[in-house]
Amino acid sequence: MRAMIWNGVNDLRVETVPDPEIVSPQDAIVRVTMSSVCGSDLHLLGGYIPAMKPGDIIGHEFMGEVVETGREVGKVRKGDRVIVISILGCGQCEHCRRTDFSCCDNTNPKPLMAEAVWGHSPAGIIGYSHALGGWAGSHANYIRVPFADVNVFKVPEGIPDEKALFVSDACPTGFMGADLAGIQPGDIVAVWGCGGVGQMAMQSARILGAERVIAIDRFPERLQMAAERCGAELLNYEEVDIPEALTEMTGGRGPDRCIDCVGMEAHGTGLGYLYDLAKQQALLTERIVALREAIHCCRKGGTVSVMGVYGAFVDKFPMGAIVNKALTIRSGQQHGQRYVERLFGHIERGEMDPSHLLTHPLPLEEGPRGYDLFKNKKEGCVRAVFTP
Amino acid sequence: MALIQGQSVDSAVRNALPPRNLGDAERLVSGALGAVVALWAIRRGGLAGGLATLAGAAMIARGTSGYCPVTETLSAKPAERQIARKQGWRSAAAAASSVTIAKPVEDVYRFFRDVANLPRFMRHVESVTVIDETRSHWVVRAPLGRTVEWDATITEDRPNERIGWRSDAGAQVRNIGWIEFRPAPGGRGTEVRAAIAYEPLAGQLGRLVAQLWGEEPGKQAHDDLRRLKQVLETGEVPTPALRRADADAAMPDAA
Repeated sequence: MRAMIWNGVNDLRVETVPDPEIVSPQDAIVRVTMSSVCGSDLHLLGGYIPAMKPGDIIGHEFMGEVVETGREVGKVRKGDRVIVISILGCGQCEHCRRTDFSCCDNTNPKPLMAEAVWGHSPAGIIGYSHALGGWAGSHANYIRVPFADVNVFKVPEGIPDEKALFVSDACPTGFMGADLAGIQPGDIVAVWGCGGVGQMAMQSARILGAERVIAIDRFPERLQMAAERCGAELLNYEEVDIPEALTEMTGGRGPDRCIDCVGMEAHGTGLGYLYDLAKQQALLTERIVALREAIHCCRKGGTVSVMGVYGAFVDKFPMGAIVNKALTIRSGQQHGQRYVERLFGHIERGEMDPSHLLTHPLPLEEGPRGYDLFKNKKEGCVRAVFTP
Repeated sequence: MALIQGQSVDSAVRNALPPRNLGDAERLVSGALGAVVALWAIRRGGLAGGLATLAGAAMIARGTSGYCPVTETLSAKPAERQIARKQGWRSAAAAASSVTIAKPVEDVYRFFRDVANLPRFMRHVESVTVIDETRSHWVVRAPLGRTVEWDATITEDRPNERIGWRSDAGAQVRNIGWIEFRPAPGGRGTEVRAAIAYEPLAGQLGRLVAQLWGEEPGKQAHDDLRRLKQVLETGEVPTPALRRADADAAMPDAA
């Protein structure tokens, strides 16, 4: 089959590799029909994660058709049109049973590095380095998905591909950001970052009863999407002072709920520190401009929900503001399996629509160009999506 | 006596000082030799001189501090010395680990008690053949592609609580071990605690060789218990392999 292979720093190539096959009776093989770029892939491309090995297939937000299932798989079958949650659950451990799937104990077969950095290993993630399991990614003709009954979901008839695809990652991550924020009717919600996840957090905030949503970014085309597609009021941080503007817009109170959908992705650090930290135990820190600002702006007794990617340590963390304003901080990698069916419902009723995120459909063979468009935000690219 | 977090003042002070694992004579020799090497190296200059200067400096540091990280790695821990003394071994390598498994105590005990199941999660165990109710024959992979074998006897069997075993007389590698089961709070299944100890094939040198091959006993115990959990909870040891031929029959490496 053809697959997009990481060969080294900024060296992506589409190559011919052997097809995957059923290894465990709980597996499914999915023929990929659409596979999207994600901001978190940029760390892999830039070589910030030395836990990548030449020959690794990347990609983790995708959909396709089931072509083969192991003998113990019962929920999905050959021919089903499906999406896959790439943060893998086993469905059996304590965490999966409480639906905290991204905390799964059993799906990272290579947990030692994560244990060294974080104390315990989270779930394994498809296409996301050997620190999180070494599972082959989705930018390929076929992919092997473990524990298919837990991680593979049949798409309802009425939902077209360009909407279903993002239920794999951007929709549940954004929805979880809004869900963890504990939005109450009448709340004003501020979202830092207008990428795919940020925009889905805005639509989700509306679904959960927010009265007003405020979007913060600096790219005009993304801000415009936030206004037109997510009903958000806009703040461009290159043009206005964000704390001042938010205070002004909220009658001096500050937003009730603040959602960080930036993390380190824009700055190309984040998870990249993971390996060095494990190995050298050096004190390296990350830049947390958006998170610090969210904590500073949030109203007293409010909630800050952190969906951006952070890898290790941050510096100058405003703990004083958290204590003295009685803030609640919530976070986590997406527990997508918890939200999929609910999100399909919101999409069917027209309450959520991620299809506009798909700005650049491309053949898999043009994968490296797709990442260039996405990384450098050329031609208004929000998501390049590959079809093998 | 005054206590600092449960320690006596004496031991708290002792713990605050840098640890020492070298005798006075060795410290003197190391320091003096280091000084000679460093002086020679500084006069020689160049890359070789630079490297030798560092080596000399390390020897001086070893001499002045009385602590050597290499010696530390090669040395047995106090618990291991105690086991060796008690068992009458030349030396001992020991490890303990614990894990919580979301299954009832009865299931975990029953699975482990059938020793033929052990190779399903113990990476270094090639096979365990049941001889009778308490005895079994073990074939275990050793560094450099070798295998070692022994017969073992279950010396303690308290259903749903504890199993203890030891190798029989004449074992190629003498070893002991135990595993304990108890209900986890909040209906979360079973807390498992296990410990193993063995007499390294070539004393502490053999242990170093094993460590260089990534077969340090602490890591082994941790990995084995994680795989026990995976097998009991999910029915398999998950592997990212794309093809059956690549799926290491002996389970993936955790590193």
